[in-house]
Amino acid sequence: MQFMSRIVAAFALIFSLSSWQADADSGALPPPQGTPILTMTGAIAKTNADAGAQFDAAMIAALPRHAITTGTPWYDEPRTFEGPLLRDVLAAVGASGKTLTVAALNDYASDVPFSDALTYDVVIADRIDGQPIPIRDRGPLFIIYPFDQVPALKSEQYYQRSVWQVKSIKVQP
Amino acid sequence: MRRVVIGMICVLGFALAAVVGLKLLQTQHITTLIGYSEDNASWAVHQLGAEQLRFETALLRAKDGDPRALDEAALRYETFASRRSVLADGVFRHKLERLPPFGALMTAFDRMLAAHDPMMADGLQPDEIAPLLAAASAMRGPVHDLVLAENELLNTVEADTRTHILIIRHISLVTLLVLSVLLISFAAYALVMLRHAQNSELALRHSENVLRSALKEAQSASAAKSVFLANMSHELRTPLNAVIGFSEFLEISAAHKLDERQRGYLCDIRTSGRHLLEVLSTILEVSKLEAGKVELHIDAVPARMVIAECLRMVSGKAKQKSIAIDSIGLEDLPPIQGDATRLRQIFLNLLTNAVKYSNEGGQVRVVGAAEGGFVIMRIEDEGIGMKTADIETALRPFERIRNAETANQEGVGLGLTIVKTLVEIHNGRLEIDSEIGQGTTVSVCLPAGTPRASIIETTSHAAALTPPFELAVGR
Repeated sequence: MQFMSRIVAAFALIFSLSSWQADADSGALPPPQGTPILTMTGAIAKTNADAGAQFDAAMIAALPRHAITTGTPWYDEPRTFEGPLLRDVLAAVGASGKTLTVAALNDYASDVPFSDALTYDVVIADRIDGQPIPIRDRGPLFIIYPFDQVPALKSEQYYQRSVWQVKSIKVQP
Repeated sequence: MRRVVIGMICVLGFALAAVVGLKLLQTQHITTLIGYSEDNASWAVHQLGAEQLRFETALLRAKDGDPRALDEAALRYETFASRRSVLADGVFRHKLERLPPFGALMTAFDRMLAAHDPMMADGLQPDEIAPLLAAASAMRGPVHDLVLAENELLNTVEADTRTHILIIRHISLVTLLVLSVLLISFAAYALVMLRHAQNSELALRHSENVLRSALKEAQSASAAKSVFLANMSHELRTPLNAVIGFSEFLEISAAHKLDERQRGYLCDIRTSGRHLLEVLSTILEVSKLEAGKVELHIDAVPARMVIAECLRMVSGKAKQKSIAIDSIGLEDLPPIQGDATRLRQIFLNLLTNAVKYSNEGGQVRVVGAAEGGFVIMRIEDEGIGMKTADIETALRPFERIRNAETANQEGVGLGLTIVKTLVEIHNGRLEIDSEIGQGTTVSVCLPAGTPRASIIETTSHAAALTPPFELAVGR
């Protein structure tokens, strides 16, 4: 009798796990309430608009936060960049692929290897020194690598991938 | 050779300094080149131009008042405005500040933003398009000026780069040349040194061969001489025995038939024969000693006994010259470790010499002493003596000191040589102390004590006859 109940319990556990998995895959991404600032396209599992997955400032702010204080070639002093980790944003839309094509408001685009998001704590910053980043100061979103924390990142290659005024990310399979 | 080495070191030092200097210069040029390539100012300036056009285009599209076109134009206003901070912040500013149109552009930017930012705070209104369009057009000039200036800078940089690359190439060439010359000169130097070493090695080997063959020759000559001497002595002694024997026989048996003169001749034959035999025996002895064929029967020999025997043997000669011989301190001496016959030979020889070279009525003393496991016997005379330089000569085989006093003395000049060798094969030491007219003291130092058993030692003592025994009878 006890043996039977164990089997039932095991089945229940497996069932609940698989349903949670399904939930994560097909979980609806709520549509943005405000003006969209980031559009995700390409190999993503979740969408909330015809164009793909769109985020407004509030949705970005709701994701787990991470802060990096580092010097960059674009500012004279080290500054604190705060926002969700790139990998969390990618997870939020169920992205899977090899390359991310990150485009800016001025249609500048740079390819970022998907692995960068997993290897380094790359942040999509929406705040600089605690303040929202205006477009005029390379906002609203700024991809920042932990340059001071990982000195190997201090090279032209990674500076190229640190796109500012980020508008959209296309996940290439 | 030293001058060459110093020269080489100077050249090396100079060349190394030159190479280091050249490399430093090269690094400087390379660093400058890298600095150029890191700089994306050009891209930023051209983006500024593109943004200006986009802004103007967006404004033209928004003229109809379409809300989406208005939003787009507002966005372009912001992105164009953002270009100001892109140029004025961070790395680009250091590059662009030097360009004359930069200041003018910044002023134009500030004027535009000051005039329109307040209106833009609550979005772009259709009636604001016309003044904004005028402002955008006004920016075209300064933007274009900066683009042109940057382009010119880029060209200069490119020309500079080409110059730097040329310089680097020249430096590399010169460095290579210097190093090549250095390498070649070192190779030449090494070659010369190698030749030199080979030559001196050849010379060394040659002289080694010469020495080796000379040694071999000397050794074989010495061996041949010893064999010859031994054989010759033996061969001469046999007929000599007949000469001596028959002359003695004639003296006894036919004395009455001979007159006085004939008896005198016979006596001469006998004494000359005896002398010759003595000489031959001595030569044979030396050859034996040299060939190391002497056997020692080591025993505890009382010095007193040996000396007494020897004194008996020289007493006749001493009496003839009225020479008194005293023995001092022989009673309490420990026995000598040695061969009794050889010891007798040693002391008999020394005493005979002492008597031989003493003046008429002189005095000879034999003094014994024990010291540190040795018995020291001193034979002192007050005779003619010899010079310090002559002591060496006296010890050499066949050498005799020739002067008026020794001219009439018989002997082959081997006595002291034999004595010295005999003392040395007893592990003893012989020393001669002498002064002209003051007499001579010969000290013989021999090991004292009782040997554990009667030992028979076969010595090989050729080396004791130093300096090398030479056949010098005729000298």
